[in-house]
Amino acid sequence: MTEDGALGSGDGPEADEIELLAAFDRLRPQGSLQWGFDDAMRRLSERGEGTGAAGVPWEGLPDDLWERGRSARIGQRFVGDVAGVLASILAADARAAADAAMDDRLVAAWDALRYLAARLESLESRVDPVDARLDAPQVAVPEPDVSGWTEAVVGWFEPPDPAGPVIVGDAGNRALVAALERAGHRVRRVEPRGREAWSAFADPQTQDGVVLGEVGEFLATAESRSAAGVVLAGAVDRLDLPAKLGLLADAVRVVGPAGTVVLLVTDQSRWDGSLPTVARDLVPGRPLHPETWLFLLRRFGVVDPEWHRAGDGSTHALVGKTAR
Amino acid sequence: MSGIHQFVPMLHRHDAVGEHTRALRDRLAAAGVASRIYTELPDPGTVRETRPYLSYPEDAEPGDVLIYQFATESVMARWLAARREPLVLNYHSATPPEYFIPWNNGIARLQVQSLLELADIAPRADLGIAVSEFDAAELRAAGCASTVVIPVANVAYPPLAPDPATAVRLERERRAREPGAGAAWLSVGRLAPNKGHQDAVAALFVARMTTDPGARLTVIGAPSEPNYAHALRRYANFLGLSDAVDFVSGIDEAQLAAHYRASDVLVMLSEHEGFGVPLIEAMTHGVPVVAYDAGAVGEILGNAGVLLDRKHPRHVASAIHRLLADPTGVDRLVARARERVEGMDLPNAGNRLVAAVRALSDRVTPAEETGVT
Repeated sequence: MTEDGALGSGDGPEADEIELLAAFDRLRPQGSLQWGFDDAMRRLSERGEGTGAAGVPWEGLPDDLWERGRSARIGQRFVGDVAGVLASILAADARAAADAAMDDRLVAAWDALRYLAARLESLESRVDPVDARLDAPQVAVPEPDVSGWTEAVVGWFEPPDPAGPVIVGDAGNRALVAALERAGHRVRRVEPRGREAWSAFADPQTQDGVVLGEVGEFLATAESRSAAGVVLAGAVDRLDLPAKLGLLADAVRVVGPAGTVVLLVTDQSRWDGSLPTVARDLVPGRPLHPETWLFLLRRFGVVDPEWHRAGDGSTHALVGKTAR
Repeated sequence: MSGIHQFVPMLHRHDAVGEHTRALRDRLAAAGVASRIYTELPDPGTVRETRPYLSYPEDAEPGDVLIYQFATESVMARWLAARREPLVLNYHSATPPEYFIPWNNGIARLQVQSLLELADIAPRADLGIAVSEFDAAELRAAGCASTVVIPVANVAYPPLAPDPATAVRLERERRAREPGAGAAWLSVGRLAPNKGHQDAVAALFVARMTTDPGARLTVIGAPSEPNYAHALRRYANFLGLSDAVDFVSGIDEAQLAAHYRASDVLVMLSEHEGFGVPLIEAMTHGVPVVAYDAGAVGEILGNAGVLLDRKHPRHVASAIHRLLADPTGVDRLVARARERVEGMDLPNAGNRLVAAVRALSDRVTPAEETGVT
């Protein structure tokens, strides 16, 4: 029985469905089909100049790689074996190139560093210098209610910049997006929560579409200077510190010089008032103190960032422009 | 004494090719034919049943017929192509490499290699055996001049009884969800990129947002491509479906039967299927099928299920909703499915396979040169 297609959907997928499926494609480890398998394999297999260290030409992969992969650990097949052999070959090649390029003293220093690192690791594992580890709490940080910031955010983005859209991360809250659009901005919404993204798709006012995904991943692949500004909420609370730093770096890069960066963050007391302030900043996946954010914003090139408190103290806004 | 011997890269238990190979060996033995299994690499679980392929020349007898179970790349392919015994190519469909390229370069490269080997060995084969016309066409395209189609020989028919403990557990879970429990979707197949499980997850998401807020999906299959399997789980979490999608693997046939019996629909959105064993399993368990018409799926399912020419999420969700809203239609499909499976004469597939190979063997007399080395 062939389905006749009269199911309320057209011949092809609609925009929301395309985005829904694209969200899965973005989870591919190589990023996308454009990753270039053939090209990568060509480069891997290429012999010749320029591939080795210090002028020593890399010999390339041996022709019997696959055979060696098999014989390495007979009984266990496929990629694990091949990868292991590949890694050891690459390591041996690198070592040979290093040996050829460096004199004995440098090689010895290299070895000493390796042994020192191994020794340190061994000692650390015995001592466990961190007595009380601060693990990420099991309960997720609730998404902040940023609707109270709508008017202020629109004001910070005046006048609308035709150069690019305002990127709003964790844009489930429609009020903020709608206000920006009413003020004449193009808004690019990035929303990691499926339900909220789906609602946004259904919104007839949506102009530049919705990206279903983490704003950090979106910004990491966005072109530099492609946006007029960035508003970040939610992700800036729940990511761990390295991810927060990456997010901020990418936000500054994407807005380019004189772009506006706005962070809407949750007050730390909303999730745990018992820890001292400094300790709160150390807990992975929890909101940072606004003063910490101010410090980070400056470090990443935002000039004279400002700190605004919500009336009820539950959220804070940090805003600034990148240097020209 | 001459025999009909099989070659398979590795012999695994609970693996379609492995079980097929073992079943064929047993049928050949039952028919009084000497039959051994040779492998490139030993599997600890089956090592006592196999011999290294390089030892075959010592065992070879005039009049031997060799069967190569082709599913993936192996150095045996070219080794067998160079031998002079009559050769049967039992083809199990090689997944095209492009499905693996974004996920795992190593596997993609192996699949490229397998296609090259197929092109080498197919013209050399005296007989190609495929489980579907779809696979037979691939064999012919690779240069195999003589092909025959025989469905898989190792599908349990009539189906196994469900494992009681699993059945009770699934029923208890279903009751715990009521009232308002939605449809129970099932997607079965290795967690590999060509299987399209992500399309089932996306369709479930749309169904829950539109027509069936309580719909659930159980995905059953070994995580054969870890990157893909990880992405699938992440995708489900991403869409807020972590409580609505169950990933199950490592279960036996009786437990699988219990899952079929507890499901309202089999959703099969695979993009490359040489046969589609889950289709047969669903049909025998009385579970209606909604499937994407790709590979051999249409050929196997016929008019005994809902065939989709597209599989974008809204389309799939709507098709399932319409099907399940029509119990009479479901009954009609299930009845058709039973008839169709009976028409395939699956219990005899093994005998037909043996007969096809023996017919080739009978054409070879011991007096002929066999090139035993």
